[in-house]
Amino acid sequence: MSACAPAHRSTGSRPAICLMAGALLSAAVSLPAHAARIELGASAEEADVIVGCLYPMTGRAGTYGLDSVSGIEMALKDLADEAATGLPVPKIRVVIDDPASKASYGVRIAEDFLRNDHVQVLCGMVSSGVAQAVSEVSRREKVILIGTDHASSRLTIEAGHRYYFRVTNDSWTSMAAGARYLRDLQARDGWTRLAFIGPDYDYGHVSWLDLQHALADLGVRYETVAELWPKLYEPDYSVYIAALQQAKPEIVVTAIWGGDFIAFVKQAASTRFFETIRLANFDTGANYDALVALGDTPPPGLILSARHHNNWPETGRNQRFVRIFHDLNGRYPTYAAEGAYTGILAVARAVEIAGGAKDTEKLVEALEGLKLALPEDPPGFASYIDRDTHQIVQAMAVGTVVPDTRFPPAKVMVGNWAVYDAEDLKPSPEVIRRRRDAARSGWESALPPP
Amino acid sequence: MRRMRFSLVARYTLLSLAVMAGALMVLSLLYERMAGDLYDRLTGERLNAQVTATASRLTSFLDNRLYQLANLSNHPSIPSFLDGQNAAAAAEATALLRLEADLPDLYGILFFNADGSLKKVIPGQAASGAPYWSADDWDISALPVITVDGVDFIGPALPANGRSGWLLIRQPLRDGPAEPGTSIALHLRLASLTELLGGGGISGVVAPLLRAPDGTVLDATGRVATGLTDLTDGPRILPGWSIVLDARSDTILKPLEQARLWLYITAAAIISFILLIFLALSRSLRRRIGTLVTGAGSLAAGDLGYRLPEGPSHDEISRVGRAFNTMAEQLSGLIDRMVRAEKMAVLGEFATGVAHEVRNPLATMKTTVQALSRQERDPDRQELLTDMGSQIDRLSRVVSDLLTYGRPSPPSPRPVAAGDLFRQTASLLRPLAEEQGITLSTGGETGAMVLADPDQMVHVLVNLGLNAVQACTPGGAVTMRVTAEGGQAVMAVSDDGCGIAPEHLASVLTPFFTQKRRGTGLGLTISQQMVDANHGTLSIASVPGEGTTVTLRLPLAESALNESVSHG
Repeated sequence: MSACAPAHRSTGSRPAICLMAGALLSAAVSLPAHAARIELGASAEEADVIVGCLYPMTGRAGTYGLDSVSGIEMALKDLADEAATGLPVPKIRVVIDDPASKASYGVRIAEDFLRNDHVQVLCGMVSSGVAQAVSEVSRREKVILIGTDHASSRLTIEAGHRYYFRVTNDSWTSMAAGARYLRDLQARDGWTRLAFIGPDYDYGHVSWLDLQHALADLGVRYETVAELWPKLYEPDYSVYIAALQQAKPEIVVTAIWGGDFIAFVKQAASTRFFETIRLANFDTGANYDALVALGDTPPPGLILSARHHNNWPETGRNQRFVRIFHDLNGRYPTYAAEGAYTGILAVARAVEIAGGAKDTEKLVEALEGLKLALPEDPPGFASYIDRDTHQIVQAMAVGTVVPDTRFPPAKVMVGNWAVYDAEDLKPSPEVIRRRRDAARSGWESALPPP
Repeated sequence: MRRMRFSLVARYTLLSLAVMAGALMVLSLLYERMAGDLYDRLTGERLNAQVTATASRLTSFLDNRLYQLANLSNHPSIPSFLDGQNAAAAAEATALLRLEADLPDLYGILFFNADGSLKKVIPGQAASGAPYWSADDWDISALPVITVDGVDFIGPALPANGRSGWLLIRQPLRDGPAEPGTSIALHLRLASLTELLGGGGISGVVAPLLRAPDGTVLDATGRVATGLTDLTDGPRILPGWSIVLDARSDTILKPLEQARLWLYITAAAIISFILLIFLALSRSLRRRIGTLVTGAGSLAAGDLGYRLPEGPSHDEISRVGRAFNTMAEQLSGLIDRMVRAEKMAVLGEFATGVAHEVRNPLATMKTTVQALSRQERDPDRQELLTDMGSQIDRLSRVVSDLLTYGRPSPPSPRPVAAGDLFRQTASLLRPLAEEQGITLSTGGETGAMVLADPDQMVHVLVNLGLNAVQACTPGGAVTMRVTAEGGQAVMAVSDDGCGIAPEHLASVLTPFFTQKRRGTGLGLTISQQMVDANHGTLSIASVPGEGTTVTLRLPLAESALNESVSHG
């Protein structure tokens, strides 16, 4: 673990959450008896900065929480290795808790982090719904929030604020890359009928808006034959699969992610869905756990990408990241690991630049425009945080499924890459202005309560 | 057509078609009945139970939401949340509202002023767009409102422009804050209600849909259902909200009708194909039977040499053809033998009569001529008497031949080496052959033992040898060879003489046919008679100008055959 400070994990009950629920409240909802809490890095006393992260550890998104924790551990180790060489690396303490994919839990955990753990930076969140709520805490409390996994572009455009930063590709970036792939595909096979299915929460809806904007900007002509919104963690997609088949699209773009995406593909594969329809998932479909679930006989026609790939780019930095993750955990990482790894690195570099974590405004200034050389950066490019949106700017690669057994137990990986430059995937200032203006009207009357 | 109607093949064809058509009709009737039963079963008895269960799921879902709404509207901390006067109560209410909003079926919890304008919103995890992150397009004034027991059911707002459909359940707060008429609403996900209608409908035949108060019919995904044809009213969920059934008879009947159509097309194709096969078969059969009839007619007309063409096939008609040919062959042989036997019987009787009448006077004449010749001193007369004696000798030989032909002596067969027969024959013929400058040779498997009368065989061979020598010109050759083939001794007498013209070849065995100036025409006839008597056959092959070969086939003595094999 860390060379500058002994890191340790601890688990225990979270009294703050339990206190929240009164007698009447507990009659209405059922809380988990125990929620995991993990502490990593320096102790509270010696830490230069305390980071409070929220990741799910259970349920369909649990894998991403666990991989995020491993990514944080890898970042702390890399920083410790730097410190061992005499570089002025800040000592970081990370506390992690599980919001159980619920916005209300997320808000309460974030408030507890601030009140009880005195964290100076919040981080994490897999679900954009939880992130949306915690971002409001960040804005209200003027505490930096580093998003590492959730992807709704609304968080950096309409709902963006001074203290919110995101260090992983957002739905705009993914859909901009996907729109370019679809444009090129249309030139080859002439598809025109498009359907979209996304989870019925902010991330799903924003992804569809992002894709529509990106396709319009590229001048792609198509007909939308269906828009479908199953709920997050939907166990049965049969009515939606039947509705998609009935609409007869040529391409279905989906923003369903994680275990939901795996469930959707398995259920669709049991029908004749893939005989006539190509399924595209540009933001999360190439996540490693989804590729493992495809087995050795994936459905035909899948078009996939994700925010980080174990087999792209084939740079020494990426290969080292994947190999060390595997050595530590005995399995290969999902993209969540690289997001969390990036989040901790970003905090460390910002603290270095700001000369400490006491002054949040200095930290914000340090994060704005911060450059980071990351595993997912192709040769000759380093990711950076956009000063206006606070969204990290990164390249994207989209491809199709090919047999590849280098990362067992996966039998397939994504190949046949189409790579899109980072600068091409940024939303234009005009788009940002238009979306923010639209959201501003009547905003005050409908703000969530303080 | 007249021939077709009465032909056996036509009758078989019609019978087969009738059986097939009958089977098809029975099958079709069974199919229709099965399809009807299936449809009745799918749409009938189980339908009511399933629709009732579906309605129960929807009602239960709404009941739970109403219970949740009642709890919230009655909670004492809610007014503090709205007016902010009691911080502790407001914090408790905030925590409560956040948790309550965090259901996947809720977008959030909304508070309305008395005038219906939005007061506050609590976004849940599924919140998206208006009214949480913007107020664009947020207007509920045009939505249908149904009020049941003080609770307003507002909506549905249909999915459009990338937004999901939703429904509000609104109730006034029990203990309102300063502003009376404040109400609380659950912002419900419309699809959470419609998903309970079920996936592929009831057996995929009857799809339950949800009819909203404004008459909109929603499918299971919460979208406006399209392509509806035959809607039936189902149970009511709320006033204005009810389940309707879309009887998609096409879902099951269309495939069945398509299957039936293909069944008929396939059956018609099969019947046509079989009909074509029968027609082709009928034509072929009639042609081949016509050949049989022609053959039988030719035979009846006396053309014993008519034979049917024998193809390579082994079917029934070919077998009949071969049997016909065998029959014609045997009939022809039988008639030949009968004619020849009758002819020989007549000729034999005649010859025997003539011989008896002529032989005694000839003997007297011969004795007299000899006596006169001894007493005659005149050389001229002596020569005349000698010529007369020679002519009497010739007449005697003719008479002897006639007797041999007319009254053949029965053979005494015994094993005899072919070589012995050739040796005796050669000793008799060689002086004549040498005199005429003809080479006579014998050879082959001369050890072959023939089962035959040796005297008669020597007679036959001498006769054949004489014919051969006489057919040759000086310098010619006559050969006698024997081989053993399949239990028979094949003895061939060949010459390289003038040969026999094809038109005479069939007649050479006829009695009294001869091309020689001084022949009796009985030599070959007698030879064949003897060979027949020894269970052999005689055949003649000849090419004019190249020579003639007469072949005798005689049974081999078994012991001689074995000996021949061991030597060979």
